[in-house]
Parts: sequence; structure tokens; C-alpha cells
Amino acid sequence: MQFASFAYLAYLALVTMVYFALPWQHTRTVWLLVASLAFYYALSAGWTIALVAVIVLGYILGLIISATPTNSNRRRVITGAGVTLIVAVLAFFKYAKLTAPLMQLGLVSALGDSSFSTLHLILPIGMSFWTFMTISYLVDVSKGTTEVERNPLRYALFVGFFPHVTAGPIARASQLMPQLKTKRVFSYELMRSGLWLMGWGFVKKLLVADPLGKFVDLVYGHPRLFGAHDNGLVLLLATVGFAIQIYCDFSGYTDIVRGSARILGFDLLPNFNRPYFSRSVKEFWQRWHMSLMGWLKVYVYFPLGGSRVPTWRRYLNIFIVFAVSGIWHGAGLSFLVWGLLNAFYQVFGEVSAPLRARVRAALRVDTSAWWYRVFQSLVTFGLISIAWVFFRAGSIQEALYIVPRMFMPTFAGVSSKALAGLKMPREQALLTVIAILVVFAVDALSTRINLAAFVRKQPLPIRWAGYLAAIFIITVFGYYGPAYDVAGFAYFRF
Amino acid sequence: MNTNAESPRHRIARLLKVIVFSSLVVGLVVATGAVLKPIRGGNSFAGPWESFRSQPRDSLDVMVFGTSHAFTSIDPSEVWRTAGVPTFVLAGPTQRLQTTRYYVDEALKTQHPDVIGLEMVAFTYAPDRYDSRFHLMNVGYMPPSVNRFKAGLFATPWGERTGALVDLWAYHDRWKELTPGDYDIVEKQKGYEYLRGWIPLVGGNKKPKSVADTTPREAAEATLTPAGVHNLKALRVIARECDRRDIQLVLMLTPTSPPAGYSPALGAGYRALSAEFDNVHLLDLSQPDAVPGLSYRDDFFDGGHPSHTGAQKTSRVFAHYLVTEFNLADRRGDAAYATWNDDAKKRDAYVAEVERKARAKKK
Repeated sequence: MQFASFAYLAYLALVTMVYFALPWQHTRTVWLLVASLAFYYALSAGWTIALVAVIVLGYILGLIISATPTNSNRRRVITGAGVTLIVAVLAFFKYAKLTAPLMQLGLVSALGDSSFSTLHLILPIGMSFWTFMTISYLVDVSKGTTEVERNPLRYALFVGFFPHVTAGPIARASQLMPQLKTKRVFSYELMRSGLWLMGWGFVKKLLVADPLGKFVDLVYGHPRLFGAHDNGLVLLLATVGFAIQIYCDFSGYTDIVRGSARILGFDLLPNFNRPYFSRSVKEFWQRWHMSLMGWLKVYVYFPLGGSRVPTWRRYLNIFIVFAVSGIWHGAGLSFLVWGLLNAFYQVFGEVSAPLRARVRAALRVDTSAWWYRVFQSLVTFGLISIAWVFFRAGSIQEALYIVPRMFMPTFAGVSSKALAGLKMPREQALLTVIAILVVFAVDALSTRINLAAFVRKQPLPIRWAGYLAAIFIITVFGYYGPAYDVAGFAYFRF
Repeated sequence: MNTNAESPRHRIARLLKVIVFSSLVVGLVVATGAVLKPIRGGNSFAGPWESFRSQPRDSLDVMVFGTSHAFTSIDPSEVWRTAGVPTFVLAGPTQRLQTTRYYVDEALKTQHPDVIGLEMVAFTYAPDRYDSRFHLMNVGYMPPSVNRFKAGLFATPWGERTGALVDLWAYHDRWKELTPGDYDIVEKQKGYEYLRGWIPLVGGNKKPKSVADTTPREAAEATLTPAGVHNLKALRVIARECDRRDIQLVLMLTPTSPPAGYSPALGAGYRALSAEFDNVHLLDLSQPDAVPGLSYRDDFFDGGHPSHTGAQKTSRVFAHYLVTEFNLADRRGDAAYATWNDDAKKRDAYVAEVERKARAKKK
């Protein structure tokens, strides 16, 4: 079941109606858990067993850890062993492609059966997210910052809650568990606000991310065809397209799931805060995938010493955090390079800060001027986009082919066959460009104007006409349905 | 975030607003889907439902269901001319029996035929044989009804159900190619009622070209294949419904090339059903000599389907079979069927026009 589908809307409506119709908190928890597991089963079928296994493991480990004396070595050892076990499970699935030959070799030796075929493991949907939630829960219980959850159903719901089970946001027990314990009351305002958020998510996903994805997939699938004769305008456009696609895809997904949770009365963590308006790479990473970066900060960066260490060590910590982030995103070396490149940007930014300040002073640049802020945002967007090439290209060789050609943007030499292959109708291309402009305009204005509040102030006929027009635009012009290969959300694979 | 004390009156007002707004959304989705849905008149694949709805209640003595083999082979006008038996073909391309059973249920809401002919090629379809495009047509062009809902839900694979149930989902990308005719949602699917579900195939590849290709396939022992076992459930539902309504059910095959390719499956299905029901009959027109004068060289549009000339010859044999086997009345003198003769003439003009266009295209 895709989030961007009528089936999901029908499912959400059913879950919501039954949830608020049930009178007791316990039955509501059971209902949400059943609905969540059914949702996951519909997405991932057999891998539901992996989710249940990790839930059971986390629950038991949490009880064991809480039973040990606070601050004891025993607690630390058990926590460490538990975290290692969870990480090992994640690594086993995540890096199966890399480890499969070794595993095969081991199995052949052990079983003496040379016909044993290569293991074909795929990562269960959302595993990176629910394993990270489990780790943070265990560490928090160990530190005493979170109470152990003794109700197995509530704990299972904390990990497997359907809005976040596939791709986050990565919830923390201290933030979500209290919400699961208290009875949610149906609120018309929350429902309206949740639907509004979901609608905005659908705009980003169906009107921007998926049509752009078709273009990006085509170009990145054949970069040498489009970058022939060292000309790379199409490569440049595809890279910028991917930067916008991944933002609209992931933030669109986040809006849909946060909106869904809000309808049920739950508040999930935000993941994005207008990241492409950041004025530095450091700021970008404070505003992009905030639940993951917050997790890495608390559970990786701080334990390494954070900022309370010598400068060189702090720089090393930044590299370690972003290396972990890169590895978390994928098994390929290109993901590691993507992470390290982002770390390099930040370290270089800090090291070069005094020099840049002197240059600005010499040139008498007004750093508060609007054009300078735009300039900084564009430079940041450019640097992030270059890093995205490593993220998207699939291999370092392909990325190294693409990056230099992006700076030679001319159409000359690109084969007409390649251009014809783009196959995006002119109307669709125009519509996508308009949708991109709308998304970024709303992002830009969101600090000054609360669009939702503005709409709420309008008379009912105007408001409803606006809502219906939005529904019309999304359902008619959106990229979905049997005519297209309906794209899943990009972050499901992590 | 959950403090929310509202008066009962306020709550009712809000509930009403939700209901009204939801109704508007549903109306918008349905109306937009109706506009975007491609025009498929009575001369198109899966397009005969509007023609069927225009038939007077309880006016049809024979109905034929099945796949493209049915709607290309049985010409109701020819059956009328030969025997005066009012016939309608309500079939869809690559239509599975799981869908056909809902076609039968829906058709029997307004018609009570004496005989139902069930063309049986779909009895050989494996469970995983599924053509998304054709299935969306077959289900999506059924009239809005409980049976359409059931076909969309129970005869459709999981991932395709939304498209089968919601036209907007299936056709929203047509916004780039809409014509003025698309906006006439009341009339756009009408037309060609006089064909009564038959689609004449003109021109084509005229396969097979050699006599060897017309050799009947060796008939395997007529036992149920796994596909047959899978499809028997839907077949049994149709037979039970016919039995309940006192309708004679003819399990049939129309001419195919090579001949008799599906005969073993037909035999197996017949044997399985005839043990349970008294109203089941067998008609295999795919046997080499079943349709006198049928040329495997000239009367086929392609390897599987007869051309309009082949359909004419097949329909005559089918008409004779109906009269001989079931003693159906000749309605040609009945005033209630006065339009059928005119419709047969319109059908001739239509076929002539299609032939003319095919010739022009060939030149």
C-alpha cells in the first residue's frame, strides 16, 4: 500500500474512525498495533517477522537493562551487547550484497553443499529507522533518561506505529511514549490541520518528486549517453532535479505521515525546516532529516566527545558522524564518500571562516543584504547538489564522470536520441516547473505567512472552493496510477 | 494537543460539514473520472454496456459472454437474420471468468434470456494471467453497480483495485488529450447499439497462411488442468445462477486457428459441470468442420479470431444450433422487435464502411 494512494486514504479513514470509536485506551493501543502490523504486512509481507523480532528483542533487552543496577558496569555491558546485536541485525540485512559471497562460502563449507546459491537478501522496509529507534530506546533506558516500557503492546506500537514505521521520523521514546500512554481525543482542528499537511505532502510527492524522478532516473541511468562529448547541461539539470526530487519526496512523505499521525492525535517530530534556504552546509544539516541528524548527534557525536574536545578531534568527530550517516544510507562506497564530502564541507567551512571574513571585510560586503543571503543559499545548494551526485550515481566512477561535466553545460554533442529519450510532454514539464516554484515560494514565505491560518480565515465557500481546487489539481495532474510506474518513497529503501 | 470541549450542537454542525465536504470530494472525483474516461462506444473493446442498457427489459432470448473470441465471432444481426433469435454479446478482451460471473449477474438484473452462451477460452487462463489494461476496461466500463464494485474488489489483483474502482485513478493522465466530446459524460459512451456487442474485424493479418497451421492440436486427455481447477469455481457460480433462473447454459468455443486448440479444456469443464447441473450444454465450433465453408485462410483476422466474414458463418451455425437444440421462437414477425431488421441494415452499412476504410488504408 503506497502512502500516495486512495487505498491509504481509505485505510487511514477506517483506522481513525475505529480508533476514536473505541472507548478504552488499552483497546485503542491494540487496534493501532494491529492496524500498524497489517499496514506493514501489506507493504512488506514476510518481513513483518523481522519487525516483530526486533520489537521483541528491544522489549526484552529494555526489561533486562532496567533490572540491572543504575550506572553499573553490568548495565553498560548489557546495553552495549544489545546495541551491538541490533546493529549486527541491521548490518546483516543492509550490507547483505557485500556479505552474501562470504556467507555463501561459509554455508558451503559448513553444509558441504556446493549447489547452495547466492543469498538474495533485501532490506526490510524501514529497518534502518526502527532499529535506530530501538537503539535510542535501549540507550535512554540504560542512562535512565527514559523509563522502561513494561507494556509490550505499547512498546510494540512505539516502534511499529504505521505512520513512521517505513521511513521515520525517527521517534524518541521520551517524545512519543507519553503520547501513547494518554488517551487521544478527536479534534476537528487536528484533523483539518493533519489533512492540510497531508495535502501539501501529496503536492510535493505527486506534482514534483515523481515527475522529476522520471527525468532523473533516465539521465542517471545513462549518464554517458547524456554526457557525451564532455557536455553536461542535461547532467546538470538532472542533478539539480534530483536535489529537488529528494527534498520533495522525503519531505512530502514526512508531511503525509505527520499529517496522518496528527489526525489520530499524535505529534511526530518534524524532519525538514526549509533546508534549501540554508546559508551554510552546517546549517543545511541542522534543517535536513532532522530526526536522523538529531539521533546521530545524541548517540554518536556526543559520546565521541562532541564539541568539548580539541579542535582536531571535533573535526574528526564530524567526519565520523557523517561517515556513519553515509553508511546508514547505503552499502555502496559512494554513500560513504557522500557523507565524508558533507563533513569536509563543514570542516573546510570552519577552517576557512576567518579568511572568508577578511575577504568580505575587504570587499565591504554587507552580510545582512538580501542578495548576499541569496548568494550564500545558492552556494550551499550547489555544494549539496554536488554531494548528491555521489548519493544518486550508484558508484564513485559514475559520480566522477558526472561531476566535472556538470560544469560544461552545453547541449552541443548530446545525441538527439538521448534528448528524445527524455520523453516528458511539454505540458507535464511546464506543470512540474510551476509546481516546483510553488513549493519553494511557499517554503520561502512560510516564515512570514502562515498559509494554513490565512486559508482558515477565509469565508467557508472560498475556503472549500480552494480545498476542492487543490484536490482537483493533485488528483488530475499528479503523477500516479497505472499509466506510470508508481514510485515508492525514496527513503523506504534505507 | 487534545483539549477539546465542544457543545453537542457544535459537534453536529461540524459532523454535517465533514459529511457535506466529503460528498463534494466524492462527487468531484466521480465527475472528473467520468470526463477523463476514454470514449468507448458499442464498437469498442469492453464498450457494449451502454448498448446493452439500451435494450428493452427482458427482450433478449440469448446472451453470449466470454472473451474477445465471443465478441468477434457471434454477430447478433446474423443470428437474427438466420433464426429470428434476439441475441446480445456482452464480452470483454481477455476477460477472466472471475470477471464474467459479475457480467452475468449484472446482465440478469434486466434480462432473462432462455440461453446463455459462455465462450470458454478463459477457462484455460492461469491464475497469474492478467492483462491490466484490458481488465481495467472490462471492469471499469461496467455500469456503476454493486457488481462492478464486486468485480473491482474480488476479481482484481490487490495492486490494481483502485484503478478498477476509481476511474480518476486509472485515467487522470488523459488531461493532456481531452476533446470536447469527453465532457459530455451522459452521451459519450453511447453509440453503435445496433451491433449488440459484436465487433467486426476487417482486414488483419489473415493468419494462418498454410494448411499445416490449420491442423488441430492433438487433444490431450480432457482432464482439468491447474488453470481449469482455478477457474472452475467461477464457472460453477455462473452455472448455479443459470440453474436457479432456469436458463440453459451452453459452454462453447468459437472457431480458432489452429482448430480445437481449447477443446480439451472445454471438454474438461463440461464434464465437471454436467455432473452437477442438468442445464449445461456443449458446443464446440472450434472443431475443423464445425462451421461449414469457413476458410482458415480467408475468414480469420489473426491467428485467434475470425474476421467479419468468419463471424457471419459462425453466427449462422450458432443460430441453427439455438433453434434446433432449444426450440427458441422466431421473433421476426413480432412487433416488439421491429427495430431489429433496421438495425441489421445499419450493421451492414457499418461493416461496409469499415471495409471501405480498410481498403483505403491498404492502398
